[in-house]
Amino acid sequence: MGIFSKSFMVVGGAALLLLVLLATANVGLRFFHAPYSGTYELVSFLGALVTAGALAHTQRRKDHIVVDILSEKFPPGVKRFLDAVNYAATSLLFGVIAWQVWVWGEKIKIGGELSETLKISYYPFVYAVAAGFGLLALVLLVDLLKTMVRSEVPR
Amino acid sequence: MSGPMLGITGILVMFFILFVLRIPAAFTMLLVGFLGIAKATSLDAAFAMTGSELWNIFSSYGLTVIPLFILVGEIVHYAGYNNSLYHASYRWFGHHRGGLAMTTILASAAFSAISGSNTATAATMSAVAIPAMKEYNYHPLLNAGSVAAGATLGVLIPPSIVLVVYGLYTGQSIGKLFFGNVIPSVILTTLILLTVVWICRRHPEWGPSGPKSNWNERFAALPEALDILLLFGIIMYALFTGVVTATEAAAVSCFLALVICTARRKLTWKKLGGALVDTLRISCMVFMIVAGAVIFAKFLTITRLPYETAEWISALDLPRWMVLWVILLCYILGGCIMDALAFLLVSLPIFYPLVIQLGYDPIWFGQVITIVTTMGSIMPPIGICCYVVSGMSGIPLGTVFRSALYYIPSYVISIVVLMASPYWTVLVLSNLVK
Repeated sequence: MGIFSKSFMVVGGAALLLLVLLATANVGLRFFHAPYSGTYELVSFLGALVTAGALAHTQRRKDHIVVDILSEKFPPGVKRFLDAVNYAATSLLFGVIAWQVWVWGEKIKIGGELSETLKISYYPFVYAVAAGFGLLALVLLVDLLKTMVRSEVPR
Repeated sequence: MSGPMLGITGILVMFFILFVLRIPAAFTMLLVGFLGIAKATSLDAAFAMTGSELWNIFSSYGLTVIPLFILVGEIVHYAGYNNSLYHASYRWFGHHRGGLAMTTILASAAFSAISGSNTATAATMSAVAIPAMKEYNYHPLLNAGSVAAGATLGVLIPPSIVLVVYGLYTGQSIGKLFFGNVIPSVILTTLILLTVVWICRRHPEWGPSGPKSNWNERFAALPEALDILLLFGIIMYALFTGVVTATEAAAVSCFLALVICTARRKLTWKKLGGALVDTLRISCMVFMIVAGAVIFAKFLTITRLPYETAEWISALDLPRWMVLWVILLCYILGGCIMDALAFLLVSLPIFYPLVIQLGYDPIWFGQVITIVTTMGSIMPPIGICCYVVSGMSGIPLGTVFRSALYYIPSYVISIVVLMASPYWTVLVLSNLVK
């Protein structure tokens, strides 16, 4: 799992650096009154890769903020059960989201929809976002299995 | 079930899941929003909307400003600038009673002018300031509180992620929001500093004064602080003239930060990698909160709850300042139990039209709720800044929360001042922006 989420992070990081260079270059070009009109679209697509790339890794690191003022007082057994429900529900949710984003990408591909300025077919970016969500769903599924198998008290 | 009733049920279910299942706020809003839309319309409609809506959020040009502003802060942080900022302000203010605590707040304010997030500021300042204050025998109630309160400036002082999200959500100019924020930031920073002075006057043994630096040392510490000032100046100038978009201004400042840090030999490949990884993680968290809030707000709109609430409140015929305080109270309570940014986004569809209808200025309202939201990050039980400070310093969480309570009046007074004169506190500068 780690190798996948890390390679997605690499894609996200590369997209971010590219985004910096692209937007900066465009500001430079504007000084010479020759801005590149496709920048707006490319920046948006790269932005999608930045977030999608980080989805799985962020979950693996358990970075998202949870409210545990109430639940920290539950006995360990109850906690484990609730964690299992948590991971099952969110894994299912992101599985559905990955699937629906993919369906959306397919619609764009089949419909032959092109981006407004550059006139490129941008469905691969949509697929990439779907893949990011899919990997997130898998990470949550692994968390679910770990919660069910492991005997020690979860975090 | 009537529409608004379904909306209220949705909100209650969301809080239940949040508290009992420990599902992150972002995911909870997505989950409940999705199920709510499915219940209010149909499962197919909910499916179709999820796919297109999430792609739209992820590929939004406006939102790309978030990872970029986070990246500038992270580059500067990994290059070690927080250290030099701290030492520069120490040279100037360290010899006063409580001087290190004031140093912490001033250095936080300076760092906030580059960083848009409070947790990044809290983490970096905990690492730098708390060991220094421990060395000079500062009382934990003074050192933890000053770091936590100083860190909240990260969200307030431009570039501010909360203002960016508010601006994109309500269609207000980010340049105007940032400029309108300058005076409120100065007011709050000053009040927080005065709080330190007051604490040290009441408990002189909490913050003993340090050795005095000579003028040579003072001026020698300045150049690196000037780098930061330059970067901040460029961001603000670019937004002021309006020749570039907020995203471009952020990208250029990332680029310049990379150039400056490389020229000063402060950045290695490893540090750059660290900055990128942290940026991706933080912006992923912010994006998921935005995504969850957008889906949840869609659900609320379908139920007509925002509309009915606004109708109901305006039918009460209360004086408008009272309505505003009721709204602010909701934000304070909301900030206590939920991630502040998430609560802001979920509640905006309900409160924003109401506030505008009452005749308040949207730029001004943005500043007021940013201060309220900021205050939530040092209030128990989920004040995120206190968690970070406690986690980084090993000071017990209870002590950190107690120490942060001293600073709450500063926020309340700031809001009262802003209400007293919207023109002189906010609009006088924001109106200058084209």
